[in-house]
Amino acid sequence: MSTGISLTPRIDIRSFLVPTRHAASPFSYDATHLFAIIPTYAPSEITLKLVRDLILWNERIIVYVVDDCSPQDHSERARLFQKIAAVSYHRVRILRTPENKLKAGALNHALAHIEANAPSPDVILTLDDDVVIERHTVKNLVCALLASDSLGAVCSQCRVFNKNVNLLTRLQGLEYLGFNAIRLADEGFFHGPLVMHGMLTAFRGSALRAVGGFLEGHLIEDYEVTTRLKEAGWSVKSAPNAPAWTVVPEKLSQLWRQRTRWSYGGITVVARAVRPSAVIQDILGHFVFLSTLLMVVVLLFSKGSGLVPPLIAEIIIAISLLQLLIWYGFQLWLMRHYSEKDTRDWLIRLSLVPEFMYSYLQTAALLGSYVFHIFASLKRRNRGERSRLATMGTRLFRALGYSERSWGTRAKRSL
Amino acid sequence: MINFNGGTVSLGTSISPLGAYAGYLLMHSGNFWLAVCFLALTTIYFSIVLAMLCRYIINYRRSMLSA
Repeated sequence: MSTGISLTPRIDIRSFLVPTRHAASPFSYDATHLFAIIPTYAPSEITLKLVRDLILWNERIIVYVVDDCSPQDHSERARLFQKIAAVSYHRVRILRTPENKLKAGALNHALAHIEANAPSPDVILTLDDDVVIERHTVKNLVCALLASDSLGAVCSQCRVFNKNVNLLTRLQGLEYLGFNAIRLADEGFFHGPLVMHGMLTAFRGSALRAVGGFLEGHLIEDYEVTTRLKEAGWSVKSAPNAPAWTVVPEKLSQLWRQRTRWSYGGITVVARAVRPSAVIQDILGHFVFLSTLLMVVVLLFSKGSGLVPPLIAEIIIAISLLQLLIWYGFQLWLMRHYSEKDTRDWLIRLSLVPEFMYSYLQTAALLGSYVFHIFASLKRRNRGERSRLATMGTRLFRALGYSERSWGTRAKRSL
Repeated sequence: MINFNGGTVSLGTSISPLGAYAGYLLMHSGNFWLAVCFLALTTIYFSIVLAMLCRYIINYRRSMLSA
């Protein structure tokens, strides 16, 4: 790798409060070799629109659509692939993996083609197949990436395309607003935000090559590759002026499967991380969560002595209330950046209750992920021994939405 | 706490019901050292939230100035 800058990983404690600034670098957007990869298993009309918009609004982009060995007996799907190819016979390339390789494998398949045909891609965009972009999204994203040589990846702002369908999609819309805020807060904090999401992220070609592309067989390849980029010394950030819309789960069962994949996938990334600084946000999260859980367990099985000074109890309550007040105020202030909001969104946010209930779902998914992680670790340790208990456990966890292999929520969506 | 996602752990959203339950149990058990531990935990969590807000404000101002 030759970047001309120092990428030595370091821990900057000051960035906990004051985010580090990225040094500016000169660049020319017009001279950038730009490639986009869209892996798909079940393409839709949104995929077609995405390819059209990418080609129409970005003169120099080459788009690779990777069919991850989807069944070829579906005439509607074949028709869509033909339409996608017809958007531009020069700038759209349809690839097909020889076998179903999941998203990371499909991305690597396209990367290998790009490397073979264009030895030095400057920027590689990875996109989900159900993303909607604006005219300037890609340009703003690429400019944000090239503005500093220390950046290895920059992700877009995530918005919810189907926000108004039901309460669940509205809750996710509000949640994604929080995701974007957290990513902005984490810019310059150690190596930047935790995850450069798979929805739409721009990777520096040299950075992606240096870390060896995506790790195949992983549940959340976006978090995994972000961690390896950071461990190699690269920083990451989000681009506030690069919005992109995605379709979120509309049913509780779909959302549950997505969240179990995210939370269990996240635990596996943290467990395998070489440098704690690359996953610092999750380490803090797990620490506080598990400490509180431990506290509950100890309190359930301990006998009190009645010696708690009232002052301690009052301080705990005061800090908790102050925290709630500050955070609630911040959540209300964030609504000014939610351009799609309507009265119902305001009611949901103001009343607190729906989001509070939504938090229980997240807590349950996380607790299940811890248990599944222990189960999967024990199963791996006893590799080769196919006990009845292990088989039953695997079936039970699969029924509950926990799996070590998945194409995500898109795989089973019908055309 | 709502929507404070400390990574994939969903820190705040996950902590709120657990934290409230832990506080409830503490008030009924009356264990001094556990109360001290819980105070320390609450303070750590509060510090994390404040630091994150601080970074958000700084980065927000920086992005406004560069826009």
